[in-house]
Amino acid sequence: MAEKIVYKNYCTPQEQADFTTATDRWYLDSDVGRSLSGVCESKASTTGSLVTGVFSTTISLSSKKFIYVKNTDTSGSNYLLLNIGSMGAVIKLGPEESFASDIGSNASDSTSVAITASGTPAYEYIAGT
Amino acid sequence: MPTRRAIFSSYIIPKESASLEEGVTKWSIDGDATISGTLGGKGIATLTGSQWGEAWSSFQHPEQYWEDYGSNWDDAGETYNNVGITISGAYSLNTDSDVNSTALVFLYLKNLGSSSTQGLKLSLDGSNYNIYIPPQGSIHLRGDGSTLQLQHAKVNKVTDNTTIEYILAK
Repeated sequence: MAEKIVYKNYCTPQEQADFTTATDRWYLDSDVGRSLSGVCESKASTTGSLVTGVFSTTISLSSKKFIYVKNTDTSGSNYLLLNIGSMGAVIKLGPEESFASDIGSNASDSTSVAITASGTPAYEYIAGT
Repeated sequence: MPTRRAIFSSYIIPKESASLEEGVTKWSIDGDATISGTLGGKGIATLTGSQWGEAWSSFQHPEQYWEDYGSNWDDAGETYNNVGITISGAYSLNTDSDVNSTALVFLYLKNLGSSSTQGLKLSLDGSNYNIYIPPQGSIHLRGDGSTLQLQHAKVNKVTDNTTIEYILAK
């Protein structure tokens, strides 16, 4: 069981160039100009175990400082929804997508997470405390 | 009209420690039987080609012509100098009230602060701040397509002022 979590979130915004005859290509978005990333150490000091399964009913986690959730389906239209600290089930995870972040309102706080779904996607998660 | 997308991914490194004879602590990737290595996922969010305004991102491409801002240059806030947006209190990432109720498709947000007192908190309902972004940390998420709207994405400092960079896309 891990004692420390380092996590990175990357994003590459792209814009497609519409060539007249050549094959269209994707380039870095002209409003941004570069790839983006952030790296940090979580405030959580233990991860708990990696939990895997196939969604059947709401997964309720309380008093967590860090959450990593992945929809481990590789295709299809099933998705997971995350509700962090009762802000609403508004974070959507399609096949192979994941979400990772510290949660709570400050560097020591913890909060709850509820995982729901559309369909029955497979999932994995760790919840740090 | 341009065609846009955002490729996003997460990379998680669980670590465990061990001490050498003289008390030196060493860290390694967790070899726990239930985790055994790094974790992560990736995806592609399809974005609307014509975004809601120049402030949809806090960046300016180094080759962008000033003239191409047209009459919208002032909507870009501090973004023209690529130093990030200063956060000294509650701040709505959406700066155009005309699109308040538009569904949020994708959000990337980084806390550019470097001091441990420059934490950042994020709200996804406009009032409750339940996501914490440590200095130099970032977050990305896809919205559910209806309930999460552009007006709901707000940030605030935890203690000291900090700066952010972001993409808020419909």
